[in-house]
Amino acid sequence: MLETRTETAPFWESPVPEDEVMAQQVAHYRDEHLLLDPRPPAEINGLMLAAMRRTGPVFWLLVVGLGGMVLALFTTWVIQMVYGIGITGLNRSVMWGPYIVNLVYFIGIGHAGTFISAALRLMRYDFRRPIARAAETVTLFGLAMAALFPLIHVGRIWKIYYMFPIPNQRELWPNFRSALLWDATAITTYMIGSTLFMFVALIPDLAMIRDRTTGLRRKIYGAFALGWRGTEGEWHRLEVVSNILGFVIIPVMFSVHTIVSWDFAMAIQPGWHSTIFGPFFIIGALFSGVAAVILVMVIVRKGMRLGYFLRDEHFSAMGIFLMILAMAWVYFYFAEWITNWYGNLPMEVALQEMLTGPLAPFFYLMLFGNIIVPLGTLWSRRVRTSLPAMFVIALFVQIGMYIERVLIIPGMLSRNELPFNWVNYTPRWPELLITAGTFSFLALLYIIWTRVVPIIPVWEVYEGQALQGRRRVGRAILPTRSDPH
Amino acid sequence: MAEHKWTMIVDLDKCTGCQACVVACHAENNVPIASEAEVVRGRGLHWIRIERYWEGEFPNVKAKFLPVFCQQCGNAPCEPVCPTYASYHSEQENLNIQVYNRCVGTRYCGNNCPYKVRYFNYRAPEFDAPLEQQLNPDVTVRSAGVMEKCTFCIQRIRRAAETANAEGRPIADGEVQPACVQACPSDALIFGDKYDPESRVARMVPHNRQFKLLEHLGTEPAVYYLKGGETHVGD
Amino acid sequence: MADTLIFGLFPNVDPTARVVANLQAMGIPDDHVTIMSAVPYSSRLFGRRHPRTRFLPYLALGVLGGLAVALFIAVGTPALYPIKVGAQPVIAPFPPTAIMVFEFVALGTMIMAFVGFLLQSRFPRLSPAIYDERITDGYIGLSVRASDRLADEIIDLYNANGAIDVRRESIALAEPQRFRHLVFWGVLSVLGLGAVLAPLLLTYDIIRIPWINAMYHSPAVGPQEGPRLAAPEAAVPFSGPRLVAGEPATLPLDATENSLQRGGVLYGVYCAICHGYPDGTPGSLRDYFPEVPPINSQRVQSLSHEEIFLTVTNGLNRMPSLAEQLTIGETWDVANYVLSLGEGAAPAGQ
Repeated sequence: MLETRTETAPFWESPVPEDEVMAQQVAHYRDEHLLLDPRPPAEINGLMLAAMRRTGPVFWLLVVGLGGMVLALFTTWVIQMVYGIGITGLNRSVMWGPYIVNLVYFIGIGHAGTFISAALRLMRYDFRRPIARAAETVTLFGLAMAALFPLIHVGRIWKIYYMFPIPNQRELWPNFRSALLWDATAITTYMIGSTLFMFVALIPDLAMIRDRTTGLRRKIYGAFALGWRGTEGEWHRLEVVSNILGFVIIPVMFSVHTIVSWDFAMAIQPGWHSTIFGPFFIIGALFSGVAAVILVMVIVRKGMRLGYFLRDEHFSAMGIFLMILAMAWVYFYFAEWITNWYGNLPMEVALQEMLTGPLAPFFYLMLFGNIIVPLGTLWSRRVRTSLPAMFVIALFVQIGMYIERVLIIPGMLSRNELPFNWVNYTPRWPELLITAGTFSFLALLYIIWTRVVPIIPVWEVYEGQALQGRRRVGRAILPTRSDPH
Repeated sequence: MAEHKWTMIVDLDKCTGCQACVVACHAENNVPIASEAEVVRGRGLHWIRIERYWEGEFPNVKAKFLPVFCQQCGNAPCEPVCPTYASYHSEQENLNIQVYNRCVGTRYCGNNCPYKVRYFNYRAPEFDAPLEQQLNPDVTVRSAGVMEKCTFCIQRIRRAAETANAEGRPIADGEVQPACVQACPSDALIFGDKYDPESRVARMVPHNRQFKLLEHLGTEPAVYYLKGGETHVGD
Repeated sequence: MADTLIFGLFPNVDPTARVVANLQAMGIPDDHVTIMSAVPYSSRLFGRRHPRTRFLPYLALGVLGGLAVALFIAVGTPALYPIKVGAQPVIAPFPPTAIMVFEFVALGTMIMAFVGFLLQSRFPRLSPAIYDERITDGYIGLSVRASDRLADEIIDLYNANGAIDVRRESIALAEPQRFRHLVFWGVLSVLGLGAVLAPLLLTYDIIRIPWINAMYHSPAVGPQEGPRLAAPEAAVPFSGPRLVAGEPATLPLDATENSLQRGGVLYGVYCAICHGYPDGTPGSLRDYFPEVPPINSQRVQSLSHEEIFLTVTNGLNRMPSLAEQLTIGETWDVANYVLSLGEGAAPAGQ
C-alpha cells in the first residue's frame, strides 16, 4: 500500500533510514541514480562552476592543436578560392565529393541534440536531463560547421548572394524549385529553432553564474540572463515556450534531414532517385547523432570530471537508444539494398559493385561499424556502462556513418547511365585537410563552449531531483516520480 | 518573334569518328583544352565528345562510337535544380540556356544530367599567347567556377535570327550551322528548325532508323540519332 | 496609506507554502505576492493558480507572417518574374510550395513564441527589482507587497516560519517594468531592420562596389579591336591587300612593262625637275634644292617600294606631298620605275 508522506524538509535533505537493509538500498540508489542523489543546490552549483573554471595544460594543448588545424582549414579554403575547385579530386562525373559528405554528416549529428532535448522532454524521459545541453551544443556547432560547406564547395563563392531572396534591380530571384534552396531554408529554420531552444533553457543557468561572478563576467552573464529572477511567472512561461518550441522543432527536425536527403533523391542519378531516402537519412542522422552525443558525454564526464552528473544509467539509456537506432538503420539499408539487387537494373550497378569493386573495403568497414559493433555489444549492460567501450562503439558508428555517406555521394555518382562517363573518385589533400579542419573546429568550439556556459543544465537536474523521491513499501525502498502538472 | 525548335540529327551510319566536330567546337566556343594530367583525373572538357565503347576480344575488337553533346532536352533535368536560374529553358528557341554570369557553381545540374554533358571549369582556363588571338569574340570566355555545355552555337542562331528579322524574312534552312555541323566532312550532323516544314530535319523525321539517347528517362531530347551500319549503337 | 515591500528567504517549499496560505487568509491578493526560486516549482505547490500567459496572438502572428513570406517566395516571385525550367509549371507547383510554407510557418511560430516569452516576461529586466542572489543557491524568495499596518504582522509570520534575512524594501522594487524593455527591443529592431535593409543599397546599385567580374574582360580579340599579331614575313602566302601595323593597306603593283612605262612618264612630269634624269642631267630646280638626292644615288636606290611610296605620299623635309597629284596606283608605278633604274654614277653636276 502506498504510504502518503508529507515533505517538510528541502528535497536535498533525505534522512537515512535506521534499518540496515533499507539504508543499504538508499545508498545504492544514491550511487546509481543522479535524480535520487540530491545535493544542496549550492554544492551542485559549485561543482559546475569548478568544472567550468578548470583550464589545465591539457585544455590549452588541445586549444593550440585544434586551433592549428582550424588555421589549416581556412588556409586551404583561401587557396581553393584563388586557384579554383580544381585542386580537389572532383571530376566531370563526380561533381560532389567530401564537401557534401561533410555537409550531410554535420547536419546528421546535429539531429540528436534536438531529439534528445525536445522529443525526450515532451515524452518525459528523465535520463535526458543532464545530457540535454551537451547534445544541443553538438547540434549548434554541428550546424555551424555544416553551414560552412555550401560556401566551401561552391565554384564562385563571391556570387553566393545570388542564392538569397533579396529584391534587386535585375528582378532576379532564386529558384525555389531547387532542392538546394529547400535545404537552405530548412537548415536556417532548424538552426534558429535550436538556438532559441537552447538559449531559453540556458537563461536560468546564466542567472546562476551571474549571481556567482563579479566584474565584467557578471555584466556579460547578466546581460544574457536578461534579468532572470526565477519568479513563478517566468518559470511558467519558460515551460510553455519550451513546450511550444519542442513541439514545433520536432517536425522541423524530421523535415531538415528529409530535405537534405532530397538533394539526392530529387536527382535522377541512378542510386539516388529512391523514395526511401527521406526516412533512411533521418534514421541515419539520429544514429550518428546519438553516437556523437555519447562520444561527447564520455569526454565531458572524464575531461571535466562531471561524474556526479553523468552516471552509468545515462550511458546505459543512450546505449539502448543507439542499439534501437542501429536496428532501424539496418532495416532501411537492407530495404534499399534488396530493392537494388532484385531489380538488377544495369544502370544501378553502383551498389552491387560495392561488394567487390574498389569501394569494397569501405563498404565492409561500414557494415562492421554500423551493424556488427553496435548490435553485437550494446545488448549487454556491462558494455553500456563501460566508458571506454561506449567510446569505441560510438567512434565505430561515426566512422560507419561517414562511410555510408561517402558511398552514397561520390560512390553512386561514379556510375551512371552511359558507361563512358564512369569515373572513379580519389580525394586529394584539400578535401582531407578541410575535413580534418572542420572536425577540429567543431571540437575547438565545443571545448571553449564548455568553459563559457555550464554544459549540464543544472536547473533541470534540480527539477528532476525535486520531483523524484523514495517511498517505503514493506521492507523495500522504491523510487517514486511525481508529476506536478 | 517566331518560335523555333532547333533539332540536330546525327546519322551514325555516316559518322566516321574523325573528331573534326570536336575541334571545330573548341575553336568556335572558346572551349578550354585540358592538360594530360587533368584528363587522367577525369576532367576532359569537350562540349561534343565521341563516346567510344570497345566490344569483343582481340583480334575481333570492334569500336562503337557516337557523338554525344547537350541534347537540349524538352524536359531537362538540369533546369529545375539550379538554385539561381542559371540553367533555364528558352521558349523562343526551345533550347536549354546556360547563363555563365549567373552560375554560382553548385554543380547540381551536372549531377542531374544523365548524359553527363555538362562541364565544370575546375580551373581558370588558360590561353597562352598567341592562342587568345584565336578566341571567338562572340562567345564568353568562362572563368573558373562556372558550368558550361553545348549551346547549339546559339551565337550563330541569334545572329541569323537578328539578320532575318532585320530583313523581314524567316530564317532560311541551312542559314544556321553550328560549328560541328559545318566541320563534319561526311554530313553526319544535320541541323535545322523542326517547326519549319520545309527544313531538312523536318522532312527527315520520323525516320525508320531513328532513336533518342536514353529515351526512357523522359528527358525529351532535341537530338535524333539514326542507327548506323557498323556502329550498332541503339540496338 | 503607503505600501511597503517585505522580503525573506525560505529554505524549502513547506514553510513558504504555509506563509502563502496565511497571506491569502489575511486578504492579500495573489498578484502582490511573488515567489522566486532556482527550481521550477509548480504554483500548485503553493496553493496558487498558474499565472496566465497569452501566447496565442504571438503564434498566430508567426504563422501568418511565415505563410506570407513563404507564399511570396514560392508563388509570388515566379508569378512576377516567370522563368521556365524543365517541364515544371512556372507558377507554384505544389510540392516545393508546400515545403516552403511548412518551413517558414515553423520558423515564424518559433520566433514569435520566443518573442512572446520575452515580451510577456518583460525581458530584459532593466529596472531594479526585488531579488537575492541566494535564490540560485536553493533558497525560495518570497516578497509581499502590503500596506504599512500589516507589515509587522507579516514580518512576524515570516520569522515564525523559519525565514532568514527578513527585510523591508522600497516599494519601487515591486513595480513591474513598464516600458524599458519595449524601448530596448524597439532600438534593437530598428538596428536589425537597418542591417536587413542595408543589402538593398547594394542590390539596387545605390552603393556601387567597383567589382569587375572575371568574365567581363574577354581575352578574345574582337572586330576592330587591337592589337593584332601579323604573321611572319612569307609565312602565309596571300594575294590581296598588304597589312603592315600602323600603315594603310595598299596593293603593290607588279613592276610590269606597262607599270614601268607609266612610271617613267609620270617621273618625267613630276619628279625629274628636282631629282634629275636617269642619264645624269640635273633638273631645272636643282640649284634651289641642293640637298635633293639624285634619283640613281645610293640613298634613293636603297629604299624599299613602301618607303618610296610613303615618301611620295607624305612628303619629306622640303619635298612636298604628291598625294594630290598622283593616285595610289600611279605612285606605285613611279616607285617601280625609280627602283628599276638601279644605282649608277652620279649624274653630272653633282
